[in-house]
Amino acid sequence: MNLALHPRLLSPADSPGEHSQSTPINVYPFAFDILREAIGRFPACRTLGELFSALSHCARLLLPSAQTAILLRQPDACFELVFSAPISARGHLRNLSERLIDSGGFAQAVRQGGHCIEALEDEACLLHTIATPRHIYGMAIWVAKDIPALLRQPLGALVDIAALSLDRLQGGAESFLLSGGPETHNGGACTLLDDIAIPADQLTGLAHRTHFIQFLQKVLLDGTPNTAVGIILLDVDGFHRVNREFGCETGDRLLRDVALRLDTALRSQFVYDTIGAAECDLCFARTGADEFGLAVARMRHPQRLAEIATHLHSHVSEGFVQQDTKLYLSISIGLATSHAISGAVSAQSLLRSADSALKRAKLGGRNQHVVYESIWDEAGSPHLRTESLLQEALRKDQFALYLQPLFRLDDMALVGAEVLLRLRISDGIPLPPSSFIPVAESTGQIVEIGEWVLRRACHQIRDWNLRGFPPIALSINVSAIELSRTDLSTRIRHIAEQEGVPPERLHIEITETAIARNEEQALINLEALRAAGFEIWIDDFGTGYSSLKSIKHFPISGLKLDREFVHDLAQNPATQVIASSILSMARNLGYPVVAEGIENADQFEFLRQQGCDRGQGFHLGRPVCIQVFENRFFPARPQDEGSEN
Amino acid sequence: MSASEIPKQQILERLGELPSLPSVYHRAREAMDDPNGSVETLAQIIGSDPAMASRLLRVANSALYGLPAKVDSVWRALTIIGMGETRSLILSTAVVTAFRDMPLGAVSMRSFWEHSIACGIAARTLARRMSLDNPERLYLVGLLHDIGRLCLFILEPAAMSTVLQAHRERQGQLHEIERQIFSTDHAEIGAALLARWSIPPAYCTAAQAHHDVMSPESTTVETALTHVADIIVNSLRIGTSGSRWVPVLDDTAWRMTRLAPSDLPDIVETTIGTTRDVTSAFLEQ
Repeated sequence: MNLALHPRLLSPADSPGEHSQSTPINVYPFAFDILREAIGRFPACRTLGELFSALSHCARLLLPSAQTAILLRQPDACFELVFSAPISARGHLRNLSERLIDSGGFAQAVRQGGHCIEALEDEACLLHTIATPRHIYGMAIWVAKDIPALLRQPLGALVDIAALSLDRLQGGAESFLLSGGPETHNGGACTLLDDIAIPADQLTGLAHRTHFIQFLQKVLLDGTPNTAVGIILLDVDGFHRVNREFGCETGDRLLRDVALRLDTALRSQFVYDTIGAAECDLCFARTGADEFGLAVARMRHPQRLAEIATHLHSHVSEGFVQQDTKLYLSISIGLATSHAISGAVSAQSLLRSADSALKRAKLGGRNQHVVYESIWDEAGSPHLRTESLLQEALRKDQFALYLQPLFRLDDMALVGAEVLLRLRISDGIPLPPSSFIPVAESTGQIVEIGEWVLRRACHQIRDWNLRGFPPIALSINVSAIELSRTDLSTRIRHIAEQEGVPPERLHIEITETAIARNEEQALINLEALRAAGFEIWIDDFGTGYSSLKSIKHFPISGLKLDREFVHDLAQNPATQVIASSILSMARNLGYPVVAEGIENADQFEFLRQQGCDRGQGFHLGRPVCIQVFENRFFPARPQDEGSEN
Repeated sequence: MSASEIPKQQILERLGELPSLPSVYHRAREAMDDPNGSVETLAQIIGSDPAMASRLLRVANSALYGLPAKVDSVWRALTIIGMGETRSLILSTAVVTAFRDMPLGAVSMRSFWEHSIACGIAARTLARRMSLDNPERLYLVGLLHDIGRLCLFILEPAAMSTVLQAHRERQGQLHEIERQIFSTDHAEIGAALLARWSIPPAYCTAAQAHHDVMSPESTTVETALTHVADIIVNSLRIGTSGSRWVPVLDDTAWRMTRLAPSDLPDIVETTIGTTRDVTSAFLEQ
């Protein structure tokens, strides 16, 4: 964290003449000084950006007027300009390096075992391959009016030292993948690949969650006596609104400002003094999309950690400016320290404690901080209880599938069933999904549970196939979290294939709200699933977020009319109008509709007359366990008939 | 990044867009310049702006002046502090108040003033140590030395964001990157703003040259002290005006302070001990 370069390396002589006067006479003692610095400093660089800056500064101490360009080899073996100093010379250096590639200068440098010098019209270039005995990583180019012969060797040595650091940063990979394109033209940063070296966040430059957790684990393991480890989790309140109202680009810029401002506010003597820690005891990271985390190790005054929360609040409450607009954000903060937790402290338990404090801060009206107290555990936060309960349920197989039948309204033929999840805990009463799905979504356990449901449904279909039951489709609910994961379609396809279930037997149900969470990824997933042959149905249609868009843009197979438009059909004329408009719109678009929540004969009759294709609800059939479902709908046991033959 | 240089002239022309100093400051200044003026008149003028008066009292009662007992009238405060200090007290209160409620970007206003106030206190402490005449003026010099950066933050937020990002990536000292982007730097802009406010030339020179002590015409003791104070405060990490590293110490400036390294612990202690209280006096409600 505190790897500031030696000041001398950061401020090369301002006037070009300062050192160059002495160069012709005896450059070596000075060059050795610089190389010694380089040997000490380069390995401390955490990112390529830092390394190349350090390299360029060292070079400018030798040759103050030099411009530096660094090109790295891409996986396609092309050289890409990733660093230029000064920044303003970027365009010039890019053109120059293209000319050098065309003229064969690069090839010559590689051939001549490292370096070559090219004299252009009014300037000289020194090329040096950035290479170790094992790999050629790229090319360093220096441009100056004149590059004295005496300096070529020290400059080359600097590059060789830098190459060794690249070896370490890249772990031996032969090329560097440029993340997010070589550069953004619209005034974007010329930031490069900072996240290759340590897991740093591209946008904010802060460490990632993984690094944060590793830091925590490490310092908890070290356990200096009489000190505590603490966490502050900060969540920007309602940040999604910024993205929605101002666009993601502004949102990103704002998030970067927030991150830098918090980071700057934390790098302060007052902070260190307050909590009794040193700068290297702090790890500030981006732990979520709009969540930041501060881990503090070896803290002598853990009881004063809350003062830091107040300090950070005062810095953020000033507001921010983005494109002439003043934006006032608030943050909710949750704190936990190891000395307040009874028993063994792990990174996970500390994070969980800070997280439940953060949730309390949010629930308590946001823009405030809450310190975790161990007494909460004894009272047993319902959330935490449910979370561990779910873990246990998965392990002990306490989940069960229930099926609710779907009928064709014309002739009441069974056309499918919706798969519902029930949790049977020890006292025997099955819990409805509404009591545990929200928790599972907030803890991420939903992914594991979703996979379990899918597998179990596939087993069921295969079982029915073996027993010769009618090939009805099962509808499976996919949550927002699963839908925004990149591996959703692969996972579903993979499981279906593994279980030998044809895709047309599985219908995927999603809500519009789930799509809205990450529309881009949702669309990719849904298109892939549709292409693989799965049907996609919009669940709870009409009540979700931005209703009609989903019909227009998404590759869907049909709609499930929300129970909202069914339950008072008989009493409310407005509901009748809405229900029939949705039905007629769907008909015109060629989408079949399933009406949800049909609870009486009047509703059923109305929907049938309005041309609704299918329906489900207590009037037609309640959700039941598989045994009961089979008994009711597949009564003539084909298996038994078979054995009679 | 394409070097979209923003010409110096363009920024200088826009200085008028910045918040202006409150009218009570101008009236107070006239009263102070008036040879027949009295502390009573001055106190009345300041009392006519209740926000200014209460802020001024808070600052007067802060650790900055170390008054033996709490003062609750402007007149008494001005009498105890004395005319020389009153000038700087009124100006600093006016400047901080004028900018206080402007939201910035990656650097908060609070961090900025914390750095500036600490620099003022460090410069004043150095001046006292050197037994200079009227060491109090050094407080104001330090307080205002980075004011140009505030101008850049407000007038060119997007470009400054790029500058800060490049600085974060260790491409150079902040003021050097400023020069690459703006063809000027905060020191020059700050000096221009101070001149616009008719602040005495010695202050403008110190703001202009605090990163560039070598230039012969600017090697005043104010410049040297500001330069050293800036380095002390940066290395102590008390607030920041954007820089993440300690600037390089200039030997000439250091020699001009005639200090020995053994003098530093006391200076550091005074600076740390005073800054927090003064910052809250200036910034908090």
